[in-house]
Amino acid sequence: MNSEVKINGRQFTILVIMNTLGSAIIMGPAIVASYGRENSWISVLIASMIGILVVLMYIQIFKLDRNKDIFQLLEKLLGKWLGKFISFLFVLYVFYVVIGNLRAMGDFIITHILVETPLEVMILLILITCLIGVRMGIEVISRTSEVFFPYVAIAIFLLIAMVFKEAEVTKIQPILQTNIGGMLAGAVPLIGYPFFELIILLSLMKDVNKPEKAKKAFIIGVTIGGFLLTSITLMCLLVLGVDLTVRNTYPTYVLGKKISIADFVERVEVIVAIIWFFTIFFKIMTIFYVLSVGVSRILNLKSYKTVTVPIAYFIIVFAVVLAPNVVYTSQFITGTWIPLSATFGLVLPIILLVVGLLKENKTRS
Amino acid sequence: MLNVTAILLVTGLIGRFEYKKIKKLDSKKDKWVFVVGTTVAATLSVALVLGYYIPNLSKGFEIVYQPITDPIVTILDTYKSK
Repeated sequence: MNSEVKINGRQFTILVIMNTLGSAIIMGPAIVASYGRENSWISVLIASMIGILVVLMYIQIFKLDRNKDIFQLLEKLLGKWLGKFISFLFVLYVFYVVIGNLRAMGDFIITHILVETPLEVMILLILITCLIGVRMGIEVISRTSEVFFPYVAIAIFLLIAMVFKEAEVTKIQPILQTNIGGMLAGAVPLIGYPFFELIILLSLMKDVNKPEKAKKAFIIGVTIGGFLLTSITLMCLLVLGVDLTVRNTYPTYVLGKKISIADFVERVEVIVAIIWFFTIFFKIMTIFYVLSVGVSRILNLKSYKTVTVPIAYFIIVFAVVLAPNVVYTSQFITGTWIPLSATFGLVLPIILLVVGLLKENKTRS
Repeated sequence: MLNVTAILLVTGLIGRFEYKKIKKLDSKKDKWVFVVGTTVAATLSVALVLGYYIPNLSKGFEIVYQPITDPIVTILDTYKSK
């Protein structure tokens, strides 16, 4: 299944960047700032550095067998039945990431843009587009992301450049003098969201045409993603200040509202929406693809496309009932999501790595 | 009732076109998974439209992880700005 599918290193880098930014680019600053306050941009920096270390660990897992995705690796290392059971739990986690991101996108649109539109309709529209992409395959998703990435990069650059004149350094002072504990605490939710979620992309590493490039691409992608997240958080703090950043669910969107050029070009916050729609759209599509591949591996199907339609139905239903409101989502990210993502993003890879290395040593001896 | 009819109609149409493609795979398992999966998924969608209780995944995870979450949240909350 999918043995001829190949993407190149650059495309994989872009997918990693899109997955790192995802919904964290718009919700992340508020979550981090509620703990780290003036120093929360340093919290994002710390989280990014830990994210890079985590990715280095994922690369070691990839080295165990370069021709297998995480589902095949689980079966190979843990045995057929235990492997399948852990694969099922992992699929559940991936499913939750898809519905969580889809719901975040739906919530944002019905809160800020199409306020009269029902959530179900928004979710349905987004998912139909993603479903088409997933059925085209990872090659098409990667190439499309390559086409759209310049728009994301330009939009981020424009956002930072246009709000720069509003920045006041006093808003992030004193730097590293107070609330050091809060700064470290702020990094914790951000490690789980989005850095531990990158374990899902481990499934795509074997599809990169040159394995050496895949490793490099993963590290470059997470570094750029982390840098962009840090920059956006820093701009939110410099322009909006700590209180406004904490009080808004989507501070980056509010940051966009501050854009003003010669009192003529005003309220171009749609730039933020452009950045976010592209990043989260590709994140949902990539993860939906991995989810379909995972389910087809567990059930030993001939094609992953068989399960895409039923999964799409499940995604819509569970995304609608996922959370009663946006506040609940924020609480979930700073609560249950931390140990949940650590289970699959940290504990499972460590187990895989230890078992893999033990088996390798046994074979050698 | 209109919503339910729409769901069933759309599912029927998708099922018909999709099944033809799956048939070409020549795999009995694929056919079965598609038919059973789509039926269960469509039933869930109808249940959602009719206002039946659908289990919330977040609540499930919350219950499972509560013993670990509580101490983490207690520590983090000491640094949270009020």
